[in-house]
Amino acid sequence: MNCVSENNLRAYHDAELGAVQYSEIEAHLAGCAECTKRLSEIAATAARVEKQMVSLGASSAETKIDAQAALSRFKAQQGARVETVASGRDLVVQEANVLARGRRWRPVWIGAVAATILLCSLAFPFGRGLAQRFLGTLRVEKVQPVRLDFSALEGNRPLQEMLRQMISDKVVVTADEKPQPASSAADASQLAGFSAHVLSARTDTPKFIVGGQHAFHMTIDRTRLQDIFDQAGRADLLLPATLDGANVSVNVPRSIMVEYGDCPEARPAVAAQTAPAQAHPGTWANCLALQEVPSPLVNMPSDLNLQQLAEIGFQLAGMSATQARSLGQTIDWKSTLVLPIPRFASSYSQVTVNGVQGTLIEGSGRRGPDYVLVWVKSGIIYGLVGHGDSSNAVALANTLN
Amino acid sequence: MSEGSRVGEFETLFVKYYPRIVGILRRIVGDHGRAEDLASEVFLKLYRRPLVQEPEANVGGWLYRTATNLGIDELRATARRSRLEQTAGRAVGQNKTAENGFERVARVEREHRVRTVLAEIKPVQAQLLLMRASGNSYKELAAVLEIEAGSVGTLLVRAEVAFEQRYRELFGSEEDV
Repeated sequence: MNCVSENNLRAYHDAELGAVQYSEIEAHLAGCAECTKRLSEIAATAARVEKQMVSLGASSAETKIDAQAALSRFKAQQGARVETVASGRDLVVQEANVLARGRRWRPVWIGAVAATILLCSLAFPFGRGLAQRFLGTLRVEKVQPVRLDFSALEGNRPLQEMLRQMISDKVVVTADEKPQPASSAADASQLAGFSAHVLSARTDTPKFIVGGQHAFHMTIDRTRLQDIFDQAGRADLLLPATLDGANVSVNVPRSIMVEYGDCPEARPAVAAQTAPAQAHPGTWANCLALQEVPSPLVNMPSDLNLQQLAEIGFQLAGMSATQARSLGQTIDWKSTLVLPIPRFASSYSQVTVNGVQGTLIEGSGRRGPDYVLVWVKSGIIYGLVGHGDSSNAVALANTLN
Repeated sequence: MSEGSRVGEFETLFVKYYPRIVGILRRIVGDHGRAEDLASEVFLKLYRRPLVQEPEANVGGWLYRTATNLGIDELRATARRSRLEQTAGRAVGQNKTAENGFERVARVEREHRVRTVLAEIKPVQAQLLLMRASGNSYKELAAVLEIEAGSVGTLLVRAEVAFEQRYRELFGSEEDV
């Protein structure tokens, strides 16, 4: 018999051979000093490494693992996850809500987009040519509702302040138009550059307002961003070193708001975002506001890992790494804008509106129930906001023409 | 397969494999809570995976492979953040044993070194060593890691040599290794 292969010597040592092969090798070893020496070396290495590996098990064999309890937790988590995924159209909903209720929506929209983009721009690959840096274009085809608890973020004042400062230092605004009234649908369409839609179920004459275009670009300063995270107590969120110097540009096109009936006065967007409106003596039951916003365009490197960035964003919003990863995997990041659902929303449901999936979110403000219905079709994000009963919201939205 | 029977099958697999999956993940990451988090992630992947009448052995192998992959990814990420020591310290802090302070410090250091080396060698080699240390036979290793049964011995020898070499480079030559 020739000398024994390394593979068989190791298998011999582990008694992982058939009886015949084992006997053959045993016989060979009896007369071969070289193989015996090699076997001895292999066995010694294996024993040393095994001792090291076993040390890992020594401290971990004590906690009892209850699979049934774990299964119950898993099912509960999945229920919550499904609910989360089913819930939201977050930013868009929130924005549409703010947009429709008050016209001072721009800072919120821009801020939200800026924050999203900021987070989405954290992992730019390093060392790529500038030419390759602007190849990826995101366009919203759908929105994804996610119920996030921003209390951790909201409570982290230093982080907010530092992020705000960095954005003001780094963001270059290239377009910042004011909203302007339009006299008719045709006028609004011409101003906005896309066709205004109205609700044929409403026979009263609506007001048209064309929201301005907003655009900005920024260069990511990864070191500064990581410093901010570190100082704000989130050193666990590690930004890839490779994203430094990456460029992101955002363009939010002009929008159209169509407002029917007697609607609430405009009020600061921040207040609208965080709490229901104060009680009002009148009723706005006949108020209906339709917001139409073409998808914002975001340019960034095409090979950037949006899921990874989104997971950082979710963790920033208080999710655990595992939750963030689970949720991140369910979303198509190239075409979905994930938006936080308003905290005051009491319920939501998935509905079919104009042939696509939409989300109906109901709230119960101090002035009574209200709702927002959000959907995306042909590149336009629609938000329909009404007050009172939401049961005919979908029927109303289906009369869009 | 109906949705109901699929869910039933998933739950059976969960109860059967969960303790083993947590066990191997705990061995890898050294923290029970984190191991359970990662195990949930493994089963979430299984939950989303179409289970088309697959032999259970394949599913079991897939679970082990996915778990060790995730665990080693975690180990490498943690090592990159240079926070391995803290993690090990936290894990040990939660571990109420009768050992004295000196023994505990020594064990923490030993575990830290082993995990650091595992994070630095090739993932497939780390996987092989971890799976073997968990008591898997050559046949099981071959099935789980999708390698030739006839080369498990060679791959083990190479993994052990790589482990020792990296250990020496990082921590010098010691009696243990």
